Amino acid sequence: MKSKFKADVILFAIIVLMATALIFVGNCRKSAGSTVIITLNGTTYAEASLPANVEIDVDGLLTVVIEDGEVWVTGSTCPDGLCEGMGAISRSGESIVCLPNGIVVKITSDEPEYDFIN
Amino acid sequence: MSKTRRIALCGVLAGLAFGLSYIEMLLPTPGIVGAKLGLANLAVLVALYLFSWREAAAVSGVRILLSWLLFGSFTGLIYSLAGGIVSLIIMSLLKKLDRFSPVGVSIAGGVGHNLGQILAAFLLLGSGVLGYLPLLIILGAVSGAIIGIVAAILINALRKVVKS
Repeated sequence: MKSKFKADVILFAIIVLMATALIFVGNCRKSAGSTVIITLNGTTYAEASLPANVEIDVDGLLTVVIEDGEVWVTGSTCPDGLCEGMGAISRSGESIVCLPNGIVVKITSDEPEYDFIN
Repeated sequence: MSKTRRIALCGVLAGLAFGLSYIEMLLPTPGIVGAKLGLANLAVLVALYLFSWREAAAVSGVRILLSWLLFGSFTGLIYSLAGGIVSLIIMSLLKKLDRFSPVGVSIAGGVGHNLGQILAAFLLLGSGVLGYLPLLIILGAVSGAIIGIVAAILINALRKVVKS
């Protein structure tokens, strides 16, 4: 039983370490974003450039607000409202997901994806 | 143990799993898409250890279908099924390995559940959901550990009762 406990702890440590490394790599790849892409059930619904100040209504399900380089979601019809609770995103690679409505708001940049390696 | 007794106990566990997922709905969510404690996995783990993966699959499947019929949406069903299936496959395999205690099996199950859900979201919604993967893996491991510790106590206590 004791050796199994040790195996449990090692398993937990490996999983958490690997995921932390993934977060670290993800953060390194984040740069100033330039384009906001909104997808509804996997297909692109709308695109907007990030510096623009606009509000986009996504099929009456929720509103995406783009203001001063930040993007957030309001007025969602979903039951849990988690998408609104996620706050604002501003950098490329960041996204807001509303699972019940099938909506993903993603920021991308025009720069090549692997620029941090060079 | 007689077949009748086993079926009856599976029914009790399925009811328990369903009740636990209802309680979980009443609890406040941590505010991250897809993050959950996974209380219902307690009953699935108990079924896996007292019986086999078949009974665990039955308990999990009945729980998912009942939750869907009573308060879910069809998309919710897809995510539940994806999480439940991946989680059960990983837990069954790890249990068979016999290297980990129920706590380790539950940790892997929690991570597997979130992996399955992200995979379903990736297929349905595209690559934008992958940014949540690392955080959901960590949260799955933590909630899996908590559930696993409770499940280990339950399994030890129930083994004595069920065997007789």
